[in-house]
Amino acid sequence: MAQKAREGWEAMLATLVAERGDALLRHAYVLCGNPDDAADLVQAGLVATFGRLRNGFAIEKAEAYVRRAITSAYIDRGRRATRWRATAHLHLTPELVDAPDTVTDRRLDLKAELDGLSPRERACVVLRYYGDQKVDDIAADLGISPGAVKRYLSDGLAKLAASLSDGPALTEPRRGHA
Amino acid sequence: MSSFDDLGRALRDDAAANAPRASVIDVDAVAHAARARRRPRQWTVGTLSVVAALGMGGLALQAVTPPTLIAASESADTATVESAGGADVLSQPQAPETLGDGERSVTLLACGATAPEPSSFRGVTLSVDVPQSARMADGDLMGVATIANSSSDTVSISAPAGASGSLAQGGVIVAESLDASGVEQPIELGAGDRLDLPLRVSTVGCEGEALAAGGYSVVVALDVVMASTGEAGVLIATAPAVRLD
Repeated sequence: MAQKAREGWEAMLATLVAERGDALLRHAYVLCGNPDDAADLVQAGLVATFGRLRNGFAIEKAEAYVRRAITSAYIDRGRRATRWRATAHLHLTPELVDAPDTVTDRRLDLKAELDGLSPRERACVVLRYYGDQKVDDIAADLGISPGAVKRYLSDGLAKLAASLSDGPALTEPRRGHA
Repeated sequence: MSSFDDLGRALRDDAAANAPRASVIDVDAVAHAARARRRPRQWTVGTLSVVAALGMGGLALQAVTPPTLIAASESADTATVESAGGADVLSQPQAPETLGDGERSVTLLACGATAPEPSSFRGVTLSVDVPQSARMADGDLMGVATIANSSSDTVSISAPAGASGSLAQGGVIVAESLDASGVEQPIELGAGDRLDLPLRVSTVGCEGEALAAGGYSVVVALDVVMASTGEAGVLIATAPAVRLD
Protein backbone atom coordinates (compact mmCIF):
# COMPACT_ATOMS: atom_id res chain seq x y z
CA MET A 1 0.00 0.00 0.00
CA ALA A 2 2.79 2.42 0.95
CA GLN A 3 4.65 1.60 -2.23
CA LYS A 4 1.51 2.22 -4.26
CA ALA A 5 0.94 5.56 -2.53
CA ARG A 6 4.51 6.62 -3.14
CA GLU A 7 4.19 5.81 -6.78
CA GLY A 8 1.07 7.95 -6.85
CA TRP A 9 2.61 11.18 -5.68
CA GLU A 10 5.86 10.59 -7.52
CA ALA A 11 4.00 9.99 -10.75
CA MET A 12 2.06 13.21 -10.21
CA LEU A 13 5.33 15.05 -9.54
CA ALA A 14 6.83 13.81 -12.80
CA THR A 15 3.68 14.68 -14.73
CA LEU A 16 3.44 18.12 -13.19
CA VAL A 17 7.04 18.96 -14.04
CA ALA A 18 6.63 17.65 -17.58
CA GLU A 19 3.38 19.45 -18.29
CA ARG A 20 3.60 22.58 -16.17
CA GLY A 21 7.30 22.90 -15.38
CA ASP A 22 7.84 25.74 -17.84
CA ALA A 23 4.89 27.68 -16.44
CA LEU A 24 6.08 27.19 -12.87
CA LEU A 25 9.53 28.43 -13.82
CA ARG A 26 8.08 31.51 -15.53
CA HIS A 27 6.02 32.21 -12.41
CA ALA A 28 9.13 31.91 -10.24
CA TYR A 29 11.17 33.97 -12.67
CA VAL A 30 8.89 36.99 -12.66
CA LEU A 31 8.86 36.83 -8.88
CA CYS A 32 12.60 36.75 -8.38
CA GLY A 33 13.92 38.08 -11.71
CA ASN A 34 16.77 35.60 -11.89
CA PRO A 35 16.82 32.30 -13.83
CA ASP A 36 19.01 30.47 -11.33
CA ASP A 37 16.96 31.60 -8.36
CA ALA A 38 13.80 30.69 -10.26
CA ALA A 39 14.97 27.10 -10.64
CA ASP A 40 15.82 26.97 -6.94
CA LEU A 41 12.43 28.39 -6.00
CA VAL A 42 10.58 25.86 -8.14
CA GLN A 43 12.50 22.94 -6.70
CA ALA A 44 11.95 24.23 -3.17
CA GLY A 45 8.25 24.67 -3.92
CA LEU A 46 7.98 21.15 -5.31
CA VAL A 47 9.76 19.66 -2.30
CA ALA A 48 7.60 21.61 0.13
CA THR A 49 4.43 20.57 -1.66
CA PHE A 50 5.16 16.94 -2.40
CA GLY A 51 6.76 16.47 1.00
CA ARG A 52 3.28 16.89 2.43
CA LEU A 53 0.76 16.36 -0.34
CA ARG A 54 -1.53 13.41 0.02
CA ASN A 55 -2.68 11.37 -2.94
CA GLY A 56 -5.87 12.02 -4.79
CA PHE A 57 -5.26 15.61 -5.83
CA ALA A 58 -5.87 16.72 -9.38
CA ILE A 59 -2.80 18.03 -11.09
CA GLU A 60 -4.33 21.52 -11.29
CA LYS A 61 -4.72 21.53 -7.53
CA ALA A 62 -1.16 20.32 -7.07
CA GLU A 63 0.08 23.08 -9.36
CA ALA A 64 -1.79 25.66 -7.32
CA TYR A 65 -0.14 24.37 -4.18
CA VAL A 66 3.29 24.53 -5.80
CA ARG A 67 2.72 28.08 -7.04
CA ARG A 68 1.72 29.12 -3.54
CA ALA A 69 4.79 27.41 -2.10
CA ILE A 70 7.00 29.17 -4.66
CA THR A 71 5.54 32.53 -3.71
CA SER A 72 5.98 31.80 -0.01
CA ALA A 73 9.57 30.71 -0.57
CA TYR A 74 10.25 33.86 -2.56
CA ILE A 75 8.81 36.12 0.15
CA ASP A 76 10.78 34.27 2.78
CA ARG A 77 14.04 34.60 0.88
CA GLY A 78 13.27 38.22 0.16
CA ARG A 79 12.86 38.87 3.85
CA ARG A 80 16.39 37.59 4.33
CA ALA A 81 17.69 39.96 1.69
CA THR A 82 16.12 43.07 3.19
CA ARG A 83 19.43 44.64 4.02
CA TRP A 84 20.77 44.19 0.49
CA ARG A 85 17.54 45.42 -1.04
CA ALA A 86 17.73 48.63 0.92
CA THR A 87 20.78 49.57 -1.13
CA ALA A 88 19.91 47.73 -4.32
CA HIS A 89 19.14 50.91 -6.19
CA LEU A 90 22.70 52.06 -5.56
CA HIS A 91 24.04 48.95 -7.28
CA LEU A 92 21.59 48.74 -10.14
CA THR A 93 21.39 52.30 -11.38
CA PRO A 94 21.97 51.96 -15.14
CA GLU A 95 24.53 54.11 -16.86
CA LEU A 96 22.97 57.23 -18.33
CA VAL A 97 24.01 56.73 -21.92
CA ASP A 98 22.01 56.83 -25.09
CA ALA A 99 21.01 53.34 -26.09
CA PRO A 100 19.48 52.46 -29.42
CA ASP A 101 17.34 49.68 -28.05
CA THR A 102 14.74 51.40 -25.92
CA VAL A 103 12.80 48.19 -25.47
CA THR A 104 15.81 46.60 -23.82
CA ASP A 105 16.29 49.71 -21.72
CA ARG A 106 12.73 49.55 -20.51
CA ARG A 107 13.06 45.88 -19.69
CA LEU A 108 16.17 46.58 -17.65
CA ASP A 109 14.43 49.50 -15.96
CA LEU A 110 11.46 47.33 -15.14
CA LYS A 111 13.67 44.61 -13.69
CA ALA A 112 15.59 47.14 -11.63
CA GLU A 113 12.44 48.74 -10.31
CA LEU A 114 10.86 45.41 -9.52
CA ASP A 115 14.00 44.50 -7.63
CA GLY A 116 13.48 47.62 -5.56
CA LEU A 117 10.07 46.50 -4.33
CA SER A 118 9.63 44.67 -1.08
CA PRO A 119 8.94 40.94 -1.46
CA ARG A 120 5.26 41.32 -0.63
CA GLU A 121 4.86 44.32 -2.92
CA ARG A 122 6.49 42.46 -5.78
CA ALA A 123 4.50 39.30 -5.12
CA CYS A 124 1.26 41.27 -5.16
CA VAL A 125 2.19 43.10 -8.36
CA VAL A 126 3.25 39.88 -10.08
CA LEU A 127 0.23 37.89 -8.99
CA ARG A 128 -2.07 40.74 -10.03
CA TYR A 129 -0.58 41.68 -13.38
CA TYR A 130 1.27 38.56 -14.45
CA GLY A 131 -0.99 35.98 -12.87
CA ASP A 132 -4.11 38.10 -13.43
CA GLN A 133 -5.39 37.08 -10.03
CA LYS A 134 -8.06 38.94 -8.13
CA VAL A 135 -7.21 40.73 -4.92
CA ASP A 136 -9.14 38.24 -2.82
CA ASP A 137 -7.30 35.34 -4.40
CA ILE A 138 -3.95 37.01 -3.82
CA ALA A 139 -4.90 37.61 -0.21
CA ALA A 140 -5.76 33.94 0.20
CA ASP A 141 -2.50 32.85 -1.40
CA LEU A 142 -0.36 35.10 0.76
CA GLY A 143 -2.37 34.65 3.93
CA ILE A 144 -3.01 38.35 4.36
CA SER A 145 -6.11 40.52 4.20
CA PRO A 146 -7.47 41.94 0.93
CA GLY A 147 -6.86 45.38 2.37
CA ALA A 148 -3.22 44.58 2.86
CA VAL A 149 -2.98 43.35 -0.72
CA LYS A 150 -4.46 46.62 -1.96
CA ARG A 151 -1.98 48.55 0.12
CA TYR A 152 0.96 46.53 -1.21
CA LEU A 153 -0.30 46.98 -4.75
CA SER A 154 -0.73 50.70 -4.26
CA ASP A 155 2.73 51.13 -2.76
CA GLY A 156 4.37 48.88 -5.34
CA LEU A 157 2.72 50.58 -8.28
CA ALA A 158 3.59 54.00 -6.93
CA LYS A 159 7.24 53.00 -6.81
CA LEU A 160 7.09 51.62 -10.34
CA ALA A 161 5.28 54.68 -11.61
CA ALA A 162 7.88 57.01 -10.18
CA SER A 163 10.50 55.85 -12.63
CA LEU A 164 8.69 54.08 -15.42
CA SER A 165 6.02 56.58 -16.30
CA ASP A 166 7.11 57.81 -19.66
CA GLY A 167 3.50 57.92 -20.71
CA PRO A 168 0.27 58.55 -18.85
CA ALA A 169 0.48 58.32 -15.10
CA LEU A 170 0.17 54.83 -13.68
CA THR A 171 -2.88 54.30 -11.59
CA GLU A 172 -4.52 51.09 -10.61
CA PRO A 173 -7.40 50.64 -13.03
CA ARG A 174 -10.74 49.63 -11.63
CA ARG A 175 -11.52 46.21 -13.00
CA GLY A 176 -14.80 45.64 -11.32
CA HIS A 177 -13.68 43.06 -8.81
CA ALA A 178 -12.17 43.03 -5.38
CA MET B 1 5.41 51.71 -19.59
CA SER B 2 2.18 53.50 -20.12
CA SER B 3 -0.41 51.18 -18.63
CA PHE B 4 -0.82 48.20 -16.43
CA ASP B 5 -1.72 46.08 -19.40
CA ASP B 6 1.75 46.90 -20.65
CA LEU B 7 3.15 45.92 -17.29
CA GLY B 8 1.57 42.50 -17.50
CA ARG B 9 2.69 42.11 -21.08
CA ALA B 10 6.23 43.15 -20.24
CA LEU B 11 6.37 40.61 -17.43
CA ARG B 12 5.09 37.84 -19.67
CA ASP B 13 7.49 38.73 -22.48
CA ASP B 14 10.40 38.83 -20.07
CA ALA B 15 9.44 35.47 -18.58
CA ALA B 16 8.96 33.87 -21.98
CA ALA B 17 12.36 35.08 -23.14
CA ASN B 18 14.44 34.55 -20.04
CA ALA B 19 12.87 32.00 -17.70
CA PRO B 20 14.64 28.64 -17.67
CA ARG B 21 13.00 25.57 -19.17
CA ALA B 22 11.58 22.66 -17.24
CA SER B 23 14.61 20.56 -18.09
CA VAL B 24 16.52 22.36 -15.33
CA ILE B 25 14.26 20.77 -12.72
CA ASP B 26 15.89 17.70 -11.28
CA VAL B 27 12.83 15.54 -10.66
CA ASP B 28 14.85 12.79 -9.01
CA ALA B 29 16.40 15.23 -6.54
CA VAL B 30 12.99 16.72 -5.77
CA ALA B 31 11.49 13.27 -5.22
CA HIS B 32 14.41 12.33 -3.01
CA ALA B 33 14.01 15.43 -0.83
CA ALA B 34 10.23 15.06 -0.74
CA ARG B 35 10.56 11.44 0.39
CA ALA B 36 12.84 12.59 3.21
CA ARG B 37 10.19 15.05 4.33
CA ARG B 38 7.38 12.54 4.18
CA ARG B 39 9.22 9.82 6.07
CA PRO B 40 9.15 11.34 9.60
CA ARG B 41 5.36 11.49 9.60
CA GLN B 42 5.18 7.88 8.47
CA TRP B 43 7.54 6.94 11.30
CA THR B 44 5.50 8.93 13.78
CA VAL B 45 2.34 7.06 12.87
CA GLY B 46 4.14 3.73 13.14
CA THR B 47 5.77 4.64 16.43
CA LEU B 48 2.50 5.78 17.95
CA SER B 49 0.92 2.50 16.92
CA VAL B 50 3.69 0.49 18.53
CA VAL B 51 3.57 2.55 21.72
CA ALA B 52 -0.18 2.13 21.88
CA ALA B 53 0.18 -1.62 21.44
CA LEU B 54 2.86 -1.97 24.05
CA GLY B 55 1.09 0.22 26.53
CA MET B 56 2.57 1.36 29.77
CA GLY B 57 4.18 -2.03 30.38
CA GLY B 58 6.41 -1.53 27.42
CA LEU B 59 7.32 1.97 28.47
CA ALA B 60 8.18 0.78 31.94
CA LEU B 61 10.36 -1.94 30.45
CA GLN B 62 12.25 0.65 28.45
CA ALA B 63 12.85 2.67 31.58
CA VAL B 64 14.61 -0.14 33.42
CA THR B 65 16.58 -1.70 30.58
CA PRO B 66 19.72 -0.23 29.03
CA PRO B 67 19.46 1.18 25.50
CA THR B 68 19.40 -1.83 23.27
CA LEU B 69 21.00 -0.13 20.31
CA ILE B 70 24.28 0.54 22.06
CA ALA B 71 26.59 -2.45 22.17
CA ALA B 72 28.07 -3.33 25.52
CA SER B 73 31.54 -2.59 24.17
CA GLU B 74 30.53 1.01 23.61
CA SER B 75 29.85 1.77 27.23
CA ALA B 76 33.43 2.96 27.75
CA ASP B 77 33.08 5.41 24.88
CA THR B 78 29.85 6.60 26.36
CA ALA B 79 31.39 7.42 29.69
CA THR B 80 34.35 9.12 28.07
CA VAL B 81 32.24 11.40 25.95
CA GLU B 82 29.97 12.35 28.80
CA SER B 83 32.89 13.24 31.02
CA ALA B 84 34.50 15.25 28.24
CA GLY B 85 31.48 17.48 27.98
CA GLY B 86 30.76 16.60 24.40
CA ALA B 87 27.42 15.57 23.04
CA ASP B 88 25.42 13.56 25.49
CA VAL B 89 25.34 9.93 24.58
CA LEU B 90 22.02 8.21 24.62
CA SER B 91 20.52 5.42 22.64
CA GLN B 92 21.21 5.74 18.97
CA PRO B 93 17.99 6.51 17.12
CA GLN B 94 18.90 4.34 14.20
CA ALA B 95 17.28 5.07 10.88
CA PRO B 96 15.63 2.20 9.09
CA GLU B 97 17.86 -0.08 7.08
CA THR B 98 16.17 1.09 3.92
CA LEU B 99 17.79 4.49 4.18
CA GLY B 100 20.94 5.06 2.21
CA ASP B 101 24.03 6.86 3.45
CA GLY B 102 23.53 10.56 3.64
CA GLU B 103 19.78 10.32 4.08
CA ARG B 104 19.68 9.60 7.77
CA SER B 105 20.66 12.96 9.25
CA VAL B 106 18.46 14.82 6.78
CA THR B 107 15.50 12.68 7.73
CA LEU B 108 16.06 13.07 11.44
CA LEU B 109 16.06 16.85 11.21
CA ALA B 110 13.11 17.24 8.85
CA CYS B 111 10.21 19.49 9.69
CA GLY B 112 7.70 17.89 12.00
CA ALA B 113 10.02 15.12 13.15
CA THR B 114 10.54 14.45 16.81
CA ALA B 115 13.82 16.09 17.78
CA PRO B 116 16.39 13.30 18.10
CA GLU B 117 18.39 12.79 21.27
CA PRO B 118 22.14 13.50 21.19
CA SER B 119 24.27 10.52 20.30
CA SER B 120 27.77 9.50 19.28
CA PHE B 121 28.84 6.66 17.03
CA ARG B 122 31.69 4.23 17.64
CA GLY B 123 33.73 6.76 19.57
CA VAL B 124 33.11 9.63 17.19
CA THR B 125 31.37 12.54 18.88
CA LEU B 126 29.77 15.76 17.77
CA SER B 127 29.39 18.92 19.82
CA VAL B 128 28.00 22.29 18.83
CA ASP B 129 28.48 25.80 20.06
CA VAL B 130 25.99 28.48 19.05
CA PRO B 131 26.68 31.79 20.78
CA GLN B 132 23.52 33.72 21.47
CA SER B 133 24.95 36.83 19.85
CA ALA B 134 26.22 35.20 16.65
CA ARG B 135 23.72 36.12 13.98
CA MET B 136 23.89 36.64 10.28
CA ALA B 137 22.32 39.71 8.74
CA ASP B 138 19.44 37.57 7.56
CA GLY B 139 18.78 36.32 11.08
CA ASP B 140 20.34 32.88 10.72
CA LEU B 141 22.21 31.58 13.72
CA MET B 142 25.92 30.91 13.37
CA GLY B 143 28.10 28.56 15.32
CA VAL B 144 30.64 25.79 15.18
CA ALA B 145 30.13 22.04 15.01
CA THR B 146 33.09 20.05 16.30
CA ILE B 147 33.66 16.42 15.40
CA ALA B 148 36.08 14.48 17.55
CA ASN B 149 37.25 11.08 16.40
CA SER B 150 38.44 9.16 19.44
CA SER B 151 38.13 5.86 17.65
CA SER B 152 41.06 3.99 16.13
CA ASP B 153 39.60 4.23 12.65
CA THR B 154 39.38 6.87 9.99
CA VAL B 155 35.85 8.11 9.45
CA SER B 156 34.18 9.73 6.50
CA ILE B 157 31.70 12.51 7.22
CA SER B 158 29.09 13.76 4.79
CA ALA B 159 28.56 17.49 5.13
CA PRO B 160 27.52 19.88 2.37
CA ALA B 161 29.99 22.77 2.71
CA GLY B 162 29.65 22.76 6.47
CA ALA B 163 27.10 21.69 8.99
CA SER B 164 23.51 22.80 9.13
CA GLY B 165 21.14 22.46 12.00
CA SER B 166 17.48 22.54 12.77
CA LEU B 167 15.58 24.31 15.48
CA ALA B 168 13.30 22.41 17.81
CA GLN B 169 10.66 23.55 20.24
CA GLY B 170 8.70 21.27 22.49
CA GLY B 171 10.65 18.31 21.16
CA VAL B 172 9.57 18.84 17.55
CA ILE B 173 11.59 20.21 14.64
CA VAL B 174 10.06 23.56 13.72
CA ALA B 175 12.72 24.92 11.35
CA GLU B 176 15.05 22.95 9.16
CA SER B 177 18.01 24.01 7.10
CA LEU B 178 17.12 22.46 3.79
CA ASP B 179 19.94 21.85 1.38
CA ALA B 180 18.18 21.17 -1.87
CA SER B 181 21.42 20.83 -3.80
CA GLY B 182 22.07 17.37 -2.47
CA VAL B 183 25.78 18.01 -3.00
CA GLU B 184 27.86 16.58 -0.21
CA GLN B 185 31.62 16.54 0.09
CA PRO B 186 32.89 13.58 2.14
CA ILE B 187 35.45 14.66 4.71
CA GLU B 188 38.03 12.17 5.97
CA LEU B 189 38.89 12.44 9.66
CA GLY B 190 41.75 10.35 10.99
CA ALA B 191 41.87 8.57 14.33
CA GLY B 192 42.33 11.03 17.17
CA ASP B 193 41.62 14.06 14.98
CA ARG B 194 39.18 16.87 15.59
CA LEU B 195 37.45 19.01 13.02
CA ASP B 196 35.55 22.26 13.35
CA LEU B 197 32.83 22.90 10.77
CA PRO B 198 31.02 26.20 10.33
CA LEU B 199 27.43 25.79 11.42
CA ARG B 200 24.47 27.71 10.12
CA VAL B 201 20.95 27.37 11.42
CA SER B 202 17.94 28.78 9.63
CA THR B 203 15.41 30.70 11.70
CA VAL B 204 12.70 30.35 9.10
CA GLY B 205 9.86 28.08 10.14
CA CYS B 206 8.64 25.01 8.32
CA GLU B 207 5.89 26.98 6.59
CA GLY B 208 8.25 29.73 5.49
CA GLU B 209 7.27 31.98 8.34
CA ALA B 210 9.57 33.86 10.69
CA LEU B 211 9.73 31.95 13.94
CA ALA B 212 8.03 33.53 16.91
CA ALA B 213 10.14 34.93 19.71
CA GLY B 214 11.02 32.36 22.30
CA GLY B 215 13.45 29.66 23.27
CA TYR B 216 14.55 27.00 20.79
CA SER B 217 17.11 24.23 20.88
CA VAL B 218 19.57 23.72 18.05
CA VAL B 219 19.87 20.16 16.80
CA VAL B 220 22.65 19.11 14.46
CA ALA B 221 23.11 15.72 12.82
CA LEU B 222 25.89 14.45 10.58
CA ASP B 223 26.27 11.14 8.78
CA VAL B 224 29.48 9.23 9.36
CA VAL B 225 30.94 6.09 7.84
CA MET B 226 33.75 4.06 9.42
CA ALA B 227 36.47 3.65 6.80
CA SER B 228 37.55 0.12 7.69
CA THR B 229 34.14 -1.48 8.09
CA GLY B 230 31.87 0.72 6.05
CA GLU B 231 29.54 0.90 9.01
CA ALA B 232 27.32 3.97 8.86
CA GLY B 233 25.90 5.97 11.72
CA VAL B 234 24.63 9.36 12.72
CA LEU B 235 26.17 11.89 15.08
CA ILE B 236 23.67 14.08 16.85
CA ALA B 237 24.31 17.01 19.14
CA THR B 238 22.23 19.74 20.64
CA ALA B 239 23.21 23.21 21.76
CA PRO B 240 21.83 24.91 24.83
CA ALA B 241 18.61 26.74 24.16
CA VAL B 242 18.91 29.86 22.07
CA ARG B 243 16.46 32.69 22.29
CA LEU B 244 14.98 34.39 19.27
CA ASP B 245 13.75 37.95 19.68
